[in-house]
Amino acid sequence: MKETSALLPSIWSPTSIRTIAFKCIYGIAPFVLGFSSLFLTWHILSSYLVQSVLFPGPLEVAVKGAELLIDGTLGGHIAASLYRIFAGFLIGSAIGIPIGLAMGSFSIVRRILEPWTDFLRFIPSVAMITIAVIWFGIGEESKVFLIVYTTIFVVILNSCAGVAAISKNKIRAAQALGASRYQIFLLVALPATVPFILTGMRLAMANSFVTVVAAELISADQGLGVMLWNGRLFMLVDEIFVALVTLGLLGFATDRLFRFATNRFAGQYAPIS
Amino acid sequence: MALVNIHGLVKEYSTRSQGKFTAVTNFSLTLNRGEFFCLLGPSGCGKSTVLSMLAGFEAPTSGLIELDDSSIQGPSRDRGVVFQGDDSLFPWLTALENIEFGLRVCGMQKRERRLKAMKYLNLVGLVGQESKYPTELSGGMKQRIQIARALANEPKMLLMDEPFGALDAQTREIMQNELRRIWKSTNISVFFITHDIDEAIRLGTRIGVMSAGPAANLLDVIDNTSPIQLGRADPRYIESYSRIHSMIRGSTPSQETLSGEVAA
Repeated sequence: MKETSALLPSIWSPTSIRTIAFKCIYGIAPFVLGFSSLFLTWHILSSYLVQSVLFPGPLEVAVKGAELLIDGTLGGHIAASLYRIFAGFLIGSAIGIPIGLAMGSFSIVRRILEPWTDFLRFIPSVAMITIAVIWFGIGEESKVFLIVYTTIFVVILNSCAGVAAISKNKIRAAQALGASRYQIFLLVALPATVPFILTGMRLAMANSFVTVVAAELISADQGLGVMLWNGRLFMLVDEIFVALVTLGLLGFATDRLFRFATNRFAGQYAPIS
Repeated sequence: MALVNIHGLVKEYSTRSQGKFTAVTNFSLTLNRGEFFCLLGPSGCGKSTVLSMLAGFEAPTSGLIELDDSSIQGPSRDRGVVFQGDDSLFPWLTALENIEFGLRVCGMQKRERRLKAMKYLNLVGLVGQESKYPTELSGGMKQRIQIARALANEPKMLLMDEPFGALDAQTREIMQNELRRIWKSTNISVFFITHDIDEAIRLGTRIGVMSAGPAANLLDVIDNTSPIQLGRADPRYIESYSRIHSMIRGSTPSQETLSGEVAA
């Protein structure tokens, strides 16, 4: 086997084609199986067990989804929700990371800010919707504010915990090698904390999905939450299901994308996932 | 020829249960330039505390530590430290980048420090492993990175805190031979902590034996001539071993009188 792969370009040797095919199947098969069993269960439930117009099956929902995708309504809702999620998520992370790092590095900062974070993080972002609408109106600002709010505490908490989890010997080794306090922060504490920061951001992403839907249910003219609300008003159960499935797929896709990006670009900093 | 002068060293900790706890008391020792000094003692006797103060990580409660006639103020690049575990390595840097770290923080140019780091990578026998990350290397190789990283700074001395304690017996013996070879080729002064009598006899040119804690101090310092070449069946090895063994046993309190072991 080794001789053939040395003589022929490896990609064309039959063994390597078999290996590649095996790898593809091995990598994708469980994934496909997982998704198809999910939709199959749904199909069985709706066609044989529940049998109600209030519980459409996956095929009807797919047809309706395609219809809404073609006429552009679904795309508009998705774009509106995703824009809010990413804007809030990025602003929240950008504010949360430095605060969390400062809290983890200096106990005085932590003791001053802990009442803030530990008080505010128990007020759910959903509870803040009414005041956000009063303060910022029903436009984009109120939703982005809410997602910043829901992102920031998770990111702060994880960044802070990341700094606290750095092993004492890493700091001591750097000190004995002649690093200054500033160099220890930049070259040791920060890279050692990156996996924790990324984990915090991933959790915050999931929170953002919750918050954006809740906020759009109450006040918005576009977004997946609006779709859900209109579905309820006009008894469009299939549209509700399209919105629900879209949320699941978007969440799944963004999470995978985030994982892929951290593994691809963060390399050795990436948390084990 | 004295490199380090330790005089009347005392370290006390305040504990939650018993108030003040004395880890080390009245510890005095002189280390000579170029020697391989092994500090040997039962676990919990405070030998790591002594190293920690010598490295400058902890300040002594009282007493004096001088390196080249100036008193030690905190950690510095003139004392390289090798830790027991691998948690002191930087897992986001490759083996070579880990070794370069000390040169990088002191501002050496990239090309120059790469050359120098490669020299120490070769010295510790890691040829071909330079672009691997610590997680991809075995326990022995990780300790080699630590040794190279400390040596690359060209410190006045190397402080080693049970560096082979977590390795398996075969790897430990290989690393002991390697360390002796590295010590001979660099002429660096080594202060090596161990609880293993065999390791101390194989490595050290002098062996300091500590009493059991709490309030531990130095029982005796013995000269150990031409150690590693001796087989373990050699009468001189056996003589040294039994002498040290009885010294330690005489100082270790029996289990009943031992009032709470404190990790040093």
